Amino acid sequence: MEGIRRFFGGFRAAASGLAAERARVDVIARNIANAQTTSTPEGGPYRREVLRFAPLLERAEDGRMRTQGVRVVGVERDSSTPFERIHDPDHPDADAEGFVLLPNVNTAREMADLITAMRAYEANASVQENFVSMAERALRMAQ
Amino acid sequence: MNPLESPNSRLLLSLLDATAQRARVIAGNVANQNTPGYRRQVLAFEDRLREALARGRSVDELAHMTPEVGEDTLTPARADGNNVNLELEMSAMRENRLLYEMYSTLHASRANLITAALESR
Amino acid sequence: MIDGIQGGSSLARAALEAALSSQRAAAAGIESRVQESLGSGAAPKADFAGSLADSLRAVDSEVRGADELPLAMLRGEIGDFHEVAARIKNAELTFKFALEVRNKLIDAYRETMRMSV
Repeated sequence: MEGIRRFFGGFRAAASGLAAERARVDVIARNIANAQTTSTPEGGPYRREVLRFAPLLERAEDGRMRTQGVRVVGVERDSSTPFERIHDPDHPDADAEGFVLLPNVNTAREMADLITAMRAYEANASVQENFVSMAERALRMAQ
Repeated sequence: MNPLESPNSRLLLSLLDATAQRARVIAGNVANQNTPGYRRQVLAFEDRLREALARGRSVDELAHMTPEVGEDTLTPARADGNNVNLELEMSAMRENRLLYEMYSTLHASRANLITAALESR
Repeated sequence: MIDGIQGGSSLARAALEAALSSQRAAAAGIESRVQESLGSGAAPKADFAGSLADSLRAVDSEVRGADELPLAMLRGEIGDFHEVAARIKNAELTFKFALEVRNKLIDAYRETMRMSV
């Protein structure tokens, strides 16, 4: 990091955490909203979305890679969790045998993920507060 | 060379640098608390200084030492391969902040003593 | 995890007291450093103008150094908040130190003039 950017390395790492967890909350909200969506434009029921995270790396002055926060690699469809198949002949999307495929969204699991994301969000906000305090204390050294 | 500097004052600045860098390392851990496969990082400095002191290194040599950032591979990881414990990390952040406050206080008090010595008649 | 200071204000206070007592001894050394900067004994009259010009130049360069802090920051020569604060304080102390050297030089000059009457 060069120039004034180095002063704010910690702030920015925490900011990347805030952004990533906020993106995760958005994805979770979308999953929960579509937990009953049995038909989509692509065909078939809604498939659960997952965010992929990776460490945000930058090359430091000594040439080594340093972690400067987290980044969202992308949104993926969860293809490992299968759709739920229930028998409901009256359902508008029921097939010839009266079976319906439900989205692979487990609401309880989404709520647990939501709590994890919110804790992480709060923690990153705390980290930013910590850097504000440290900077203020450091600047008082000049008085 | 500034007549008001000494190996001790340079060591104090080193400690301030290291503590500020440790805060950044902790921030990186907190940002990656949910990143699959991420191993927490730690910054070692005071321990290395203590070892060097015990081996008889001078304060000047200590003042030129730099901190080491390494991966914690001892703490067991969860199912997703991440070994960041949020409570421990936040606790480390608070401890580190107290260290920073103490070093800043030492720096300020040294400056005050010098000022008092210079302004006395 | 951080070894070393494990929180607790009593431990921090003990460390502060130990450091302060060693710094009181250092403050006593300031007086001797001012003397060191003046060289040995009273400067002969011919050298006085030179010595005074030197000390004034040192004062001027410190003020200019402090003025150039924003540029140093933009060029990436300063790493963090505590470094800015330390440089500011250092400039202030070096300025006062140079001022003290100047005052002692003037005192020595006056003393020399008084004695030659």
